Amino acid sequence: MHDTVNHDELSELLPWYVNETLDRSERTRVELHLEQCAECRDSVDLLLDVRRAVRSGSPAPLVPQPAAERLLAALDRRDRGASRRAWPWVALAATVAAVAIAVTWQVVPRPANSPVLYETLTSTVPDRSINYVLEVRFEHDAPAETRLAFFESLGASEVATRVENLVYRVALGLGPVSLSQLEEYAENIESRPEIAAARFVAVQLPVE
Amino acid sequence: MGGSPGTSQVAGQDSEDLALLEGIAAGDREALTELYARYHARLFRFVYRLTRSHTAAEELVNDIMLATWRSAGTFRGDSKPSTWIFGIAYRQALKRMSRKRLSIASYLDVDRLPDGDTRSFEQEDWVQQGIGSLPPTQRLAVELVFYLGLSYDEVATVTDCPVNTVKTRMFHARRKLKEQLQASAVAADSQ
Repeated sequence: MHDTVNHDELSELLPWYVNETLDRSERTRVELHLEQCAECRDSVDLLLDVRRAVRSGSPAPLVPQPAAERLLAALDRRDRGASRRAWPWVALAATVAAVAIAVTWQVVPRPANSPVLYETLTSTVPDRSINYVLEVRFEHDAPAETRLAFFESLGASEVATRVENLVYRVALGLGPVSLSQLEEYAENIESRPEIAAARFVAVQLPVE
Repeated sequence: MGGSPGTSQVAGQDSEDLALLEGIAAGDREALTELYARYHARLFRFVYRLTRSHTAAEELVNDIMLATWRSAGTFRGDSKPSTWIFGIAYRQALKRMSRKRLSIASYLDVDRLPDGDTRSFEQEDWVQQGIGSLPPTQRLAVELVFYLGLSYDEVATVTDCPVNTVKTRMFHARRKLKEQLQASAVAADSQ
């Protein structure tokens, strides 16, 4: 049994009861109400499912390092029509920032059967010769055999170094490659079962 | 650019962000670059969830930063700088979602599920699809509440809506998801 006014008011608070941002008095009121309202308990169950889906159902994306030069270029395009003022120090700062920012793909949790992992390279990687580095990060409970299989799968030109516990960087030794060649190589890496067993994979692209 | 951000009781990270917004309001591109570096990953992850495209997410982050550049002078310190910036992100995302309905891919991570918990997996799959099918304002509200973990006051600030509107959106989102759950259960039973 519960009164309708109280129910309507407290029912609307349930999303924030679930995300734990209610203050203490609101939380107490909701909890007292839940003791007597089966409908709201069902709603809490549903919202917990939603929270779980939102949090765990989506892998963190490959997050590129910020490319300030593109932002500043966009700003330049926007400003070009409005002003022709010359700010040499701004251009210098932009250049320095552009050079200083390594084009590094951060580590991402990989879902099973994930879509092509390196698809975004097409939009952000310049077609130039650089030394590509593959970063592989294993789950904390990855069996030793999995890691061993990974190392045994490396080619002669792929040199792995340990960065920290369970994290390895592999210099791919590709030499000068075109973007399309890099994509093809990345797809080949992706298809290796030893790599697929790792939870985190990323390609790092240090600036020349 | 014009005006100057107001001052408020902000500390630590917030005060640094505030200083950057002040710089941006004064036309300092280095301040914009610094703010961009600080927020890039957070914004990228947030908008990527909505776009499912790295290219679109990067474009959106740039749009957010350009909008920040344009409007930094209007920041009055009524909220935390991060809340204000995510308000811009919300509006940019909503604009894009309204222009082109974004589909949501199922990115379930079966490795995280307990062994044999197929029902939970299917349930989560269904919930993901349900969230993806919500209208943009409801979908964004769900993301703000459960991905960013914002309070209803914060969601109201970010979305520039009254708290009651925020609560109503979440209520309707919940009702739609519940209806879809019931429909999917009926469909599963009939198979």
